[in-house]
Amino acid sequence: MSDAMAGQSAADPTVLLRGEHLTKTFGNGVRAVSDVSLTVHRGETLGVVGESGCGKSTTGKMLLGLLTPDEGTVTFDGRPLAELGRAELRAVRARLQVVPQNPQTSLNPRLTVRSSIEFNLRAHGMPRAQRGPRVLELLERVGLTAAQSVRFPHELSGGQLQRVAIARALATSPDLVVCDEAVSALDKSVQAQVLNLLADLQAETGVAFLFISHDLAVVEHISDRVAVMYLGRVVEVAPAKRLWASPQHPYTTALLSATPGQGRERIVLSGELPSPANPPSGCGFRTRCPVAEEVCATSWPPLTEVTDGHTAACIHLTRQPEPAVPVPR
Amino acid sequence: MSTSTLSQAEDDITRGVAPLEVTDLTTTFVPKGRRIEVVRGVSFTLRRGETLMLLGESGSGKSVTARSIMQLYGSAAELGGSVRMNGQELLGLPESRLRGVRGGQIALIPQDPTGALDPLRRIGAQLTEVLAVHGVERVRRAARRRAEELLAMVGIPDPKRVADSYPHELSGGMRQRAVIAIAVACDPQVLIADEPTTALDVTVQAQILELLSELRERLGTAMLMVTHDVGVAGDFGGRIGVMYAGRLVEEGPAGEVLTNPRHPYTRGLLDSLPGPDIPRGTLRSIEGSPPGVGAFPAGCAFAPRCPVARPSCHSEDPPLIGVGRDRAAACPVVNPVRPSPGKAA
Repeated sequence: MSDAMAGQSAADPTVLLRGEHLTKTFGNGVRAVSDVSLTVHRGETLGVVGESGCGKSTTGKMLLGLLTPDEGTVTFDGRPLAELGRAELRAVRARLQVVPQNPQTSLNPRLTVRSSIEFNLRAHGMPRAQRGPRVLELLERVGLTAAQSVRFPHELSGGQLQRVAIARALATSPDLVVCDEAVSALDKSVQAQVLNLLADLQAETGVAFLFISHDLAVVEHISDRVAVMYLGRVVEVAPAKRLWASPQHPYTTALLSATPGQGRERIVLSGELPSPANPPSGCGFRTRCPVAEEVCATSWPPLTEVTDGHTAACIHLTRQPEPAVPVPR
Repeated sequence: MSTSTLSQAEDDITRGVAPLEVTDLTTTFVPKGRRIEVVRGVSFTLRRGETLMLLGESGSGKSVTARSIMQLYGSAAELGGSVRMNGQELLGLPESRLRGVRGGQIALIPQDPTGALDPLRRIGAQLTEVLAVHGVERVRRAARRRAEELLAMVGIPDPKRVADSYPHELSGGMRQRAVIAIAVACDPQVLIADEPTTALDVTVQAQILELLSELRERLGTAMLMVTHDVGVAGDFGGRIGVMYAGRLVEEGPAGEVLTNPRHPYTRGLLDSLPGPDIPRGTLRSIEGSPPGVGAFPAGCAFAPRCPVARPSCHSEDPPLIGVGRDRAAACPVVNPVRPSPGKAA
């Protein structure tokens, strides 16, 4: 289906959000994101995984229009964000919402839960008379009571606060919600409730999610497709099931095997993530890669198609597109 | 485990001496006249070479249990029960004696290696200080040599350079290795690791877990590890103690606890984990959320969230009792007491 069409014509009606060749360097010389291209289709969940400093949150902020890329463009529903005027951008923001990692700091501590959600509705021009009922409808949908709507953030648990943040994000009936480590701070028993809620909401409303997380088990569970990032680049994109069944990039393979409790044979990488301020030459993963060769020091390999909708950035793919044929002795 | 440590462990048991024996430990914080019970009667025995993983969610008291064993709270907390090391009671020992025990016979690897290291002193100096304080090696040159050996032992590729580095010059993974080197410097009998990999990225976490597992085998140290990660608890092996609301609710060999849990909380926790074969939106979560510290419900603290709770569960707090060989659980509903086979008193 849509995978076959992924990355084709710009007029593809299934494409909701497209980031192309995004690059961001911060003032301190840290190149957080280099040449990242990602596509989110209507109604799908795109997972973005990677370790700290891989640029996944910076990418999310650029896709949300909260951070201006140095190079590259973000197109929402066919229109480049950079070309939108102030009023148009505001209209787009109603359709492009975010659930941040830490609701304790993202919700105003001096506003009741109800006011926080109303704030979002007012900002996007809903008449006062409609706001009250809409807030209660949203809170009920995320599993909170009317009594809880007059509470302040410090009176609620982490799981309840994250439900409030989800209700606030959904208030304007967005087409896309960026969830940046949205369940990472929650205990597992509560995390499961919130993951179920997100899945239900998607089934009901057709909202698309860009789900950024370092937790591989969560991403595997919630995502249709997954992009793996390393040192500011996307190194592999594939449908979730396919990525876990048949990872192609050596970093993906190691990352999946390093997750505890997976039952895979663990590949322990030597060394640690290089600093994004001082990345190695060529492929950024080569310093830790078990199969690196001399040529890897020359340039990052481009993302190359392995099969339909599955791309990876490693020279070893182009040489061995299929599992090696056994050599007759 | 080699046969010699096994038979040693058996010797210890028959003599009634274990490296660490915690009985009915309670920790109560006393801020401004209030009393907040955080650990409420935790008991376990750690034998030589054995590992116990304390598994629990936030506020379950797992870290406080570990830190109470080290008596790190001073006058901020009242401790009750008993903590014995090789038969010797540690609770109530004067601070001067405790200082020799901490870092010497029993050492802590904390979650945040940055906070555990002195930012103004080189790694080498911090290591030689520990060696000198505990009388392991007071001669400066020999201590320095030993420090470098220790750094090499924890997998630091360039021990000389790292010994001459300040903590901020090292990456998170390297700092945690340095902290582990300090912890094992005096060859402790008990190593307590409090979420040692939580602050680290998953590929670095894999390295540190591998290192700890290696050290455990090589040094035969008894280890108490605190974690919230079921995957880590399962992979690291040994025994698992599941904590909820300040109590141990289940204990047993890791493989058995995770495949055949005997407490509804353990069952619920395992069911909430996202797995590859569970369709989206159908995770079996536990109702509600864990109780806040200081607001533990009466009776069994899990009863308000428990799918199998009976009325009596809301008033009676069940003890941790043996449920089969080597296993214990604190739930009379899942583990009904069978008529005893007439054991002679």
